[in-house]
Order: sequence, then C-alpha cells, then structure tokens
Amino acid sequence: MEELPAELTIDIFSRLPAKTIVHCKRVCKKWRNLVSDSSFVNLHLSRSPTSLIVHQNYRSQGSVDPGILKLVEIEDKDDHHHLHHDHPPMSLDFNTVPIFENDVTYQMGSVNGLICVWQTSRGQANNTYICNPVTREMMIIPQYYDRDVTVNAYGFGVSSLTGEYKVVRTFERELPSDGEISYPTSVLKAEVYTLGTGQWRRLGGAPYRLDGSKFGVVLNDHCHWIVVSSNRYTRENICTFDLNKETFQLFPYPPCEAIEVINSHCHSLAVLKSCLCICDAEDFKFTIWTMKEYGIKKSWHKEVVITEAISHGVVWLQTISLIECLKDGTILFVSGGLWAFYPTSATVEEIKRFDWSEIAFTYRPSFLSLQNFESEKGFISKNRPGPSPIKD
Amino acid sequence: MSKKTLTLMSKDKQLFNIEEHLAVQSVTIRNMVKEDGASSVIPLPRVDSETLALVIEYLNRQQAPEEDEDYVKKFVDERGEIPTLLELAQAALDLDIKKLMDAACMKVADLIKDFTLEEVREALRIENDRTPEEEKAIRDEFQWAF
Repeated sequence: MEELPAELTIDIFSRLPAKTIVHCKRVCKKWRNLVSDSSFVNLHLSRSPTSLIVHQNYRSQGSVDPGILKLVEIEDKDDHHHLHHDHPPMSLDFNTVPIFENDVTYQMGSVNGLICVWQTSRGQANNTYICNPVTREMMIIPQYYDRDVTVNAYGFGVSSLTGEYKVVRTFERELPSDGEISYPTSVLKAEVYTLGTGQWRRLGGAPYRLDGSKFGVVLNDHCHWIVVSSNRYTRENICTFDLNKETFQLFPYPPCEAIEVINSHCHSLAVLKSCLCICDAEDFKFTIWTMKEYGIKKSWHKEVVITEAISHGVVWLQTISLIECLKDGTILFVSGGLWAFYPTSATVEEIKRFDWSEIAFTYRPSFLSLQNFESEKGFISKNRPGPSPIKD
Repeated sequence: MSKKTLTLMSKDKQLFNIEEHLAVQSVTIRNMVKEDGASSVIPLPRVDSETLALVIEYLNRQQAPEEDEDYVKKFVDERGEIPTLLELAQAALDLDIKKLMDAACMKVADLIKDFTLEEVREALRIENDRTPEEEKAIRDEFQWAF
C-alpha cells in the first residue's frame, strides 16, 4: 500500500476533534512529531471549532479546591448540533498540580487554546498562570509590579498585528490616608504582560472601574468589559482595551432609551457569530442585543427576548452568560446550568445542570505550545495527573 | 467558435476529454495551459482512471454558484468509502482543486473520528513504527483523555 502524501495526512488530521488527535498521537512516531510542528499547529487552529470549558469545583465547607477543567466539544453542523459530554470527560484536574493545592483558581480568559488562570487564596498566593489543557503545559507569569492591591478585572488576548499574547489587569490601590477622610481613597491602575517578555509593564491609571466578575471578552483585537462606574451622562457603559495600542476607551452601548441602565438589570458581554453581544437580564427575562457592525452604535439590534413563558425551568440567576450561537441558530447560555435556546420553536432546553460553583466559557482547542514563549523565566511543566480509564 | 478540449491521461493510460474552460478549475492544469498551451495530452501519473472519471464528473458539474457548496458536499457524501475518498483527495491535491480536496478530507475526518488506533492506521495506510514497549510507555503517558 502506498503511503499518503504528508500534506493530505496533515489536512485530514487537522480536521479531527482535539480528543481524537491526542489519541492519534499514539498511531506512529511521525504523527507524534507532526502534532508539534508549527504548520500543523497553525492549520489546526485555523479550523479548530469552538468548544466549551466547564470549570467544576467541589468547594465544601471549610475546604477549597482549585477545580477541574472539563472540555465539551461541540459538533456544529448546518442542520444539527451535538454536545459531547464524554465519559470520562476530557479534563485537566488542577488538584493534581501541587502548587494549586488547597487553593482557588479562576479562569481569566482564553485565546487560541491558551487559558489564563488566576490563583488566589485568602490574600496569600496570588499568581497568574497560562495553561494549555491539550498539550498539558502550564507556566507561571512573573510577579506583578503592584502586589498588595484589589484586583478589578482581567483580560487575555492576542494582537493580530504582532502575534503577541497579552494579559491585562486593572486593580485598585489604596491611597495613603493622612487620618482625615478625603476622597478618593483609592486609585485605579492597569498593568499588562506580554507572554515571553518576563515582566509586567505599568500602563498608569485605568479610567473606569470594570465589571471584573467576567473576564474581558475578546473581539477585533480588543478586550471588552461592562463599566460599573463611569460618568452616567455618557451612557456608554462598555470599556475596551486595545491589544495593539494598549489603551482603554469607552465603546458604543445600545441606545440608552432602549436598554435600562438600572441596578436591577445585570449586563454581560459575549461574542456570538463574531458579533459583540450584550445580555440584558432582569427578573425572569433577558434580552440579547447584537452589534451587527463592530463599533457602530446604530447597528445595535435587539436579537431575541427570552421570557419566563418560554423558558420553563431556567434557574434565573442574575449572571446569565451567553456562550455561543451555533450554525443551526441555537443559542447556548449559562444560568445555573447549560441551556439551549432554539429560535425556530422559541423554546429553551436544559442541557446540563451545574453545581452552584460551576462556570463555563468558550474555548478553541489548540496544540500551541508554551515552549514558543522561549524567554519565559517561569517554570513550564507538563502536568501528569493520576490514572484514569483509557478509551482505546 | 467551438470550445477547446483538453485530453487528460490517467495512470493506467486511459484518455479523458474535457473542455478547457472547465478543466482550468484545476490550478495545476491552468498553469500548464498558460505555460505551453497544453495542446498535447496531459499525463496524470498518480491518478487512476476510476478516480479521474470522478474528477471529470466533478469538473463538469453545472451548478449555480450558490448551490455549489451543497453540491460538493453531496458529491463526496455519495462516495462514502474511505479508499475512494483518499484517492479523490490525492487527485484533488495533485490537480490543485481546493474545494474538492477540502470536502474529501473533511469527509474522511468525519468517518475516522471515532475509530480505534488500529482502524485509523489501517484507514490511513500507516505502519505502526513502535515496539510494544514504546506503545506501553506512550499509553502510560496519555492516560488522561484530554
């Protein structure tokens, strides 16, 4: 039998689900090397479909745990979709990473298969890591300039101009008090870290206090957050961070007469079908706004309203996060569980009930190695978790 | 003016005629035509006659552009056997017909994604170049499923 041309093998291989590729590394030595080859890594990434990561932890009374990242691959076809909750799931268990022992981790953004992880526990450990669950590599980012601060928000993205991966964080620093109460008592600042450079850079002041409960949503070389305190007269309650210029800016918000900017509403950002979206949630109802043309205020469009009547059984949490809009039109969202909204039948279905401490975010598996950030001084480790059943 | 016809010759020396304006969907043929007019027979030493017949059928399709995607998908779906699809993909690679190659590779990937290692090896004609000891070492390393 004649061997297939390498180009063909690479092409077929790059279209397989990440799980299968990892599995297939065992087929032969050639394939094993192929998976770490940059031409394969780039081809695979250009085709890698959006998946989900569910971060699950079993925090119980008196104990904390860094949690497990579980991958849910989405089969997204024009006429149907399927979510693969595998048994056993493809997962990365932070409990097997000694540095995370008895600690809490938060996911602070994901781009091109890399995930930014923030470790924090009762003010002691306070580190940022980058990990690739597929290659099972992890590296620690050097200590910040400003340590004893209250972290406000995180963002993690890549500049398409330079290919640089950047972590940005904003934080609040207490101002020294002279005994008399005078305002302001604290100042907002920002720092940025370019992967591979070995040190954080100060960006000076951050202009707005951001909603840090969700990491910055990345689209068009910008991280986006909801602003929680700003000049209310502007009514532009989105702030962006330009990953190329490294500047913060206010960004057009849906028309203020149409979207209530009041306390009982909870707003969160997402990217659906390459468009920036806002989820405007109130009691038993939420509205999805889509910005059809990026940066154009007039293009904000009310996409869909999901009310209690069509969403029987939804656990209504204030923080509804939109996940993805699939090719068949289904919108996935998280509110106490993973839900699907089917626009054609205007119905909502529960896909998976979550534990209270579970979160989910979109993720594109990649074989991008952290070894690419050569000059990184921090450790790079291959995590070797304990035994789990093998599927063969 | 009559349309110009090209002749393609398969590995097993069979001749196929095709109108030039359809044949030049293949970038390889387009370049040959540009270079020397390709008046004589174009030999395709890696494509057998069965596969070439399929390629010709594909190139001769009369689809409206907006229906083309669906047509290509259906075209490869109807040839659901992995060996046929691999031959087709290889011919599309040699002839540089991107759409056909993409669709054929996608279909193969779809078919093999749930295969066992042995089945993948067999389907993609790969020899196992590991010793049983190496197999075991790798199996230990890849115990996790992620």
